[in-house]
Amino acid sequence: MAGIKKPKGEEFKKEDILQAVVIADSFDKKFIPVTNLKPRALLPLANIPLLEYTLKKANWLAPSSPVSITTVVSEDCLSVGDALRDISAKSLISNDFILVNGDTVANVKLKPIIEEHKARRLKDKQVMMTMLFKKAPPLHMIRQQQDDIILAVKSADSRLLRYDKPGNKKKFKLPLLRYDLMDTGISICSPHIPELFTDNFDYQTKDDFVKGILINEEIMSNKMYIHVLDNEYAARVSNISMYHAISKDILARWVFPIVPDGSIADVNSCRYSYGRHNIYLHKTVTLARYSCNNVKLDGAYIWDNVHIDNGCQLTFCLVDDDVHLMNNVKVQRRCVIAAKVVVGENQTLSPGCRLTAQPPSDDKINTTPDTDVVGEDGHGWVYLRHIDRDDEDVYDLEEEMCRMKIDSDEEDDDKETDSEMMFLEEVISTLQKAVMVKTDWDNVVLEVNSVKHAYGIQIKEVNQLLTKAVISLPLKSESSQESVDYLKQLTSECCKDNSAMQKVVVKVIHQLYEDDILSEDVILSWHGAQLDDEEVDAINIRKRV
Amino acid sequence: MWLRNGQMETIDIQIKDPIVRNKVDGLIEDLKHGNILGSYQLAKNTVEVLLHMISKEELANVKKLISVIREQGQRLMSAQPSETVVGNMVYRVLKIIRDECRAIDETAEEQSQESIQKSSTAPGDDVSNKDILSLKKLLLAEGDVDISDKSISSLKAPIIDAVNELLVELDTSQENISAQALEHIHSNEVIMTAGQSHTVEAFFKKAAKKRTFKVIVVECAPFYQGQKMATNLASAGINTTLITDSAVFAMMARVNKVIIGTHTVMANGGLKAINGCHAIALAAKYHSVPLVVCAPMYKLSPKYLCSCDQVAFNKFASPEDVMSFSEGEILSKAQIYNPIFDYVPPELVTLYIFNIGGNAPSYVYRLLSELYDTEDQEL
Repeated sequence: MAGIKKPKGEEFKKEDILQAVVIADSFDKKFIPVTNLKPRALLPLANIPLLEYTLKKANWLAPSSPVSITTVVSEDCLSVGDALRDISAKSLISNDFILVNGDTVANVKLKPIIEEHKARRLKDKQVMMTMLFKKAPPLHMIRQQQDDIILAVKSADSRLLRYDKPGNKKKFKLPLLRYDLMDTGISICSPHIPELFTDNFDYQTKDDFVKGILINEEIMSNKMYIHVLDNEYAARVSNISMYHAISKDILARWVFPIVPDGSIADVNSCRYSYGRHNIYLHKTVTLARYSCNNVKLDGAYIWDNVHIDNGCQLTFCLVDDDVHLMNNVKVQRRCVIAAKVVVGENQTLSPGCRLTAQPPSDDKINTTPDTDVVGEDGHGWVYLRHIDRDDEDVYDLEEEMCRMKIDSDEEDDDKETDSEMMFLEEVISTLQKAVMVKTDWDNVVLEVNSVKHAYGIQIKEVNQLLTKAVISLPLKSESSQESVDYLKQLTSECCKDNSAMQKVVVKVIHQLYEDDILSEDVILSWHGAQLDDEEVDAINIRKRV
Repeated sequence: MWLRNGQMETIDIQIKDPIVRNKVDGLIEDLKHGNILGSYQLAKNTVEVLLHMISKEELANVKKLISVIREQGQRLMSAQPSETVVGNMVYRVLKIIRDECRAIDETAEEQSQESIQKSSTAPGDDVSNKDILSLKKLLLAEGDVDISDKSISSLKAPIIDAVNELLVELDTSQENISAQALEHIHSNEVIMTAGQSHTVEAFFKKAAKKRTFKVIVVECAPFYQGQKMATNLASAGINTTLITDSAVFAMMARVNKVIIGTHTVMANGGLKAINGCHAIALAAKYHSVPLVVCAPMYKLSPKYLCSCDQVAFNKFASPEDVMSFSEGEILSKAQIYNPIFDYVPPELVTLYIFNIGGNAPSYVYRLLSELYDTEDQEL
């Protein structure tokens, strides 16, 4: 993976050259398989390559531009840290510089912020970095689960005291905590920063660096500051859901004047007209009143030269260049189709499916396309991804929230389980409390762990007991609605595993009924309520019951 | 006419001089990013760039000069289509060039006529010669065919002089408008204005030197230029009241006159003004309050309004001013718009105060034909 950095110098005064480092590589695989052929910085966002958004302000293509751009290619770069170490080795930086990612979309006027940073540096040589943040409270469209941060800031001079990803169960007692900020990926750095990266080989990302600086603050007395953007917009296209969110923001004109019909557009080649309801049309486009042949596009991102035949339905998906979708193809949510894939007639792509036109590299023998997915006349392979929690992309926040709930349930089942009555009771009450008050599952896990230690129970036994606790939980609940809910949970968990389990579940339910623990109407209402569930297994179970 | 010329030969329309090219590119960038504030500055910068182009570019004939200016003018105009002033200035400069050509043409004709008169001995021939010439002139439709081949060297100086005159006109327009203040503002009148306009501000300040009157300023949310205006007027010693946009109708009953500035005067005499102006104009109409618009001539645009959705008529800014981005969840559920301009139809406008004097909206078309050449209607 090659990191391309483009330091550019902009002359304010003669002796005062402003430099910026644009890191063009993203060093992650969030957009795979689309990024197999095209680096992320060149992916089009609202028809303009991402890198343009970063460099456009500098007007770097014009011959009259006051900015000079140097491209630095380093082949062995695997992280932001490597890139900065390389820059340090080549001693390209001589002054305060702006560190920015190639996938940033922003309409920020940096000049006052840079001046603020410089004024701080004049007072105190140990000021290392001013990071830019955008206010985006939890549940905001643009806020990402994996980018969650908690900051502790000194309110008087916005000095950064702590920088943490949540999930750490430490308790803070600091003057001003902020959980409503989002990192924009832009920071103004002092010239010592590349050196610091060189000195500390373990710094891989900016997060590492920031944490390192803050931990060593007392020894090194290096300081960090933050700047919160008020009216201006800045965000990174860090994954596909961010791509969706930022596209929508651009179309809703939050990034004004960077809008498709505004300054970002190239005067000579593309011009868009802006109509009501945020509709942008290229000036060459004419729309007939009944021009679509039953093609339904809903939240679909379609890039260059895509061919969509009659009757296709696309919902919240990303379609790369030169893709051909034949008649009546259905593309469901969160699908990503990479360049040059052909999907045959009447195919339905399941949600979250990622298709690529390149055969998977690990088995070169299998060169026939995945016909069961792309159809007989199709061309393409399902991209198999590493099952990595961090890698999971989710399209919108709603789904993210759902997923979180499911995840946490599973987590509990994994860890749950095992021997003394006291412990069991304790756990049951904990879980009941948790369900009642809807506490965070992390806390529940913590509590269960502490109870485990208190009663001196082995981990094996913990597992057994916890399962028992989870199963007995519905038995203790009073209301029938709760029982229904538990029953649902139980069946959906069990039917995932295997058919043997399913038989057992049927028996369990029957037994519960016999013993008058579950009343008849509870089972019936469960049966009725779950009809929308798609799982065939679940239906099987229901039949048997 | 132009199309025919364009088809006949391809003309090199690139700018050769690097300094001029840089200036044009710089202006385009400034336009795109909205770095230049105020119509006056925009007009001035545009004319200066065009003047540079005329004086520095080495071109064979006038036809080439016109085509270069048309091409570059088009680039400038499409950089920020909602800023009509840029286009107006390009049209004005083109008109100047054509006029100078014609003037030279006429003097040449007169001279040739004189020489013919001198050479001819018989009085009968003289008359027929004259007739032939004027007939020829009529047939050739203002002598456009001749323009194209004129050498630029003899024309350069008069064109530059005329463009410099245009610059002077730009400089003095605000002064000329405010000189008419005393004719329109009388003692103890209550005057309503909206938003911030440098022209109107100067107008009021001029009147305040002689007369005492009250000004009610509408604040114009969400940009609140009105608040700035109110501060400026109050600090100049004018009795000023600031009201919200929603209070316009309630306050209109006690207003004697509404005096507003505008962004553009459209070809039909309508206005493209700051949003909220249409509501003010309707309220004024309802209460039979005269609506007076202060507008320098450079804001006169040859463009008509066909529909309010028309390309480049309105400008939609970031919704940040209406609702903060940090509001969170609601943003994905609601559409928020923040338009900048409003269209006011000509029948709601009582009087225009241009730098050449007061005119009714129905007279605008006449001014247009004086300012702009019909051949340059579409670039």
